[in-house]
Amino acid sequence: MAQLTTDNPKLTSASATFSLPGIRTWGLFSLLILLLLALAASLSLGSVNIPLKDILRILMGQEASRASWERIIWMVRMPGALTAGFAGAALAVSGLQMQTYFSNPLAGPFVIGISSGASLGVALAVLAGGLSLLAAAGLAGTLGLAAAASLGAGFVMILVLFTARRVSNHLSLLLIGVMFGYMTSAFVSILIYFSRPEQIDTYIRWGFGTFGGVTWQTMRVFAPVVILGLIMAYSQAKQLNALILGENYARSMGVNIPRARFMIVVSTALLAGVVTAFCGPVGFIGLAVPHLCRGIFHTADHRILIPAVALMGAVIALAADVIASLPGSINYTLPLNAVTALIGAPVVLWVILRRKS
Amino acid sequence: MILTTHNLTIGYTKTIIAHNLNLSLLRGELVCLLGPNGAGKSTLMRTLAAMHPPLSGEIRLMGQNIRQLKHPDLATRLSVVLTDRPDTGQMCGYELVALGRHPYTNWSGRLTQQDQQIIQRALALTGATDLANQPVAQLSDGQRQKIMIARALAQDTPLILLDEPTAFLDLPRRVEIMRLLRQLARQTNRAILLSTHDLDLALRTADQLWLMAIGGIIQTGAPEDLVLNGAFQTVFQNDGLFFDLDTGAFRIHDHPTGKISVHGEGIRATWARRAVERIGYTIVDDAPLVIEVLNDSYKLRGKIYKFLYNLVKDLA
Repeated sequence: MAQLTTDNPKLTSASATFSLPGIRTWGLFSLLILLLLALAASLSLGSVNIPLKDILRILMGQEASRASWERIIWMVRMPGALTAGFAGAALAVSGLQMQTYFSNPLAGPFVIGISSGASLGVALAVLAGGLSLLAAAGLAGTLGLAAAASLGAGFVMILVLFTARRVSNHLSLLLIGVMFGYMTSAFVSILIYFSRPEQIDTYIRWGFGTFGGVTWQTMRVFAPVVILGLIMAYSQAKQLNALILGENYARSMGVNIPRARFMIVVSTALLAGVVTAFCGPVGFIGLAVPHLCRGIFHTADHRILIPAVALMGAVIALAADVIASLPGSINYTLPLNAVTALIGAPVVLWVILRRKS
Repeated sequence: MILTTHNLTIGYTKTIIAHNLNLSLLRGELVCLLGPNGAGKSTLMRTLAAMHPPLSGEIRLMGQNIRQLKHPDLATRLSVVLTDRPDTGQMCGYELVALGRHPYTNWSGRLTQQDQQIIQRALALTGATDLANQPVAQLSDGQRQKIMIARALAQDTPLILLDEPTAFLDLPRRVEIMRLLRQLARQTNRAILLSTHDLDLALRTADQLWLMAIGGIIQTGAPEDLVLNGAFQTVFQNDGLFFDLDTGAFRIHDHPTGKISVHGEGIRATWARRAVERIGYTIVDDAPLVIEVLNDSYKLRGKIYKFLYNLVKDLA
């Protein structure tokens, strides 16, 4: 009798997986609620204490108790929160695509050389005087760094993909990415060795990552690129599902491999590239979030995973941003990358340990 | 006629593996491609599956040259079961079989009622319905192979190609998979071509054999015809292996050690013969060396042996 009672629920819940897609819809819905909560937390926490009532009034377009609060919400916290949300979604979805495409659970958004390229670009700009060149071209400050990062990322990514055309298997492509990473970091070390402390400081700060660097003006580039990348990724959900079985099977099921590969790589480059350009090399979100969502949703179906991963990525990025700003003063925020690593590394460890058993 | 090849030459730019192949596959038939390692079975399978270009000649699938078929069209005519072992993560059996509907679903991959019926039927036909809700990563090799076959069935193609579907399986599972494939060929009226190293199973289950010898010559026919005309023996016989026409099985023979007679009847005598053949003796009727098979023991040179193990030890 005991046998029967333990067996039955398992059977019904398992068959419910197909007959009731509602469970997954509810999962996505809960993530949406979580995202709103994280947005609210991100807007209400900061160095200046603004009551929730006033935040709501400001969001509705009404007068707040103090005029300066309006400025803080609209000009500082809102762009920061939106940037964190978009960046988290972008990194997580590009990480998911790379993990599926390379059939490697430890692949992330940066395996095609984007972050190493960006760091090289920024190092050249900051340490080797490229910044003044960019400033002369009308790209000063954050925009200059973003331009340098994009150029570097694009350059190294093209090198990696060009080299990758000569190898057939995915493991080699991953290794090529890693080797290019070593080469760029070697270059960067040399540049650092010959630089002044204040230049090095700027470079290291860029490396910490931040969601605070996007203004409403640059948001006009940032948000559309992320949305375009996300749409491209979702359009490949069916192809990504087939690619789980590897390229040979996918081709036999009618997948146009070159086209799918193009869409996946371009969308990853857009998503990870624009985030790295504006926020620096934000690590671990792209690596950890897909695993978290697979574990929670118990599926390999990208039609569910892509929206789930995007929402979860946004939630985690907002949470990381809130935690990073917990010390409570503009001058004393924690490095974003330290926070994402502290959240992300345990998730990755959990994945590795679970695979062993 | 599902598939025909016309003067097909296969191989790579520098080496021709086989030329002028004129082969055909019929509906409802299970065909096994057999041949020693290095004969080019994989290359032939890959060429037929349009995964590798032919050097010359053409392959017609349902009357159309496969080189001219677009990938989506090819996918509705030809499905494959490969030796690849993809990491399927959290994917359950049903989701994997559902991938077979890929060529028929819309851009988002949504399954219609009809798709779901076809998936359920594929699971039922392969006896994999119980596996539908289980993560594929946790299935045994045999169960996994059934799910992969169900996926190919769900793809609903007149031709299924399987590359060594019984490799890595234990004997009962191999028999099960081969029987399943033969049954599927009949029931669903498809052509099924598989490559295998299981000579014995292929002899017992295939409707037709394609025997590929080193040098790329392929002989086709019913298994029995190929045994009787000596083709089977020629392709596989070498120094260590010898095909016994009486038993229909291969025997391993070392350098002959001597002649021996086994007196007695029944199962115990049969296995006593096998025991001495194993160490290189030839069985003859009137050798001076004689084993007498008694009720519960064996007698050799006046000595009684309870187990063949000791008898063989003394002989060797």
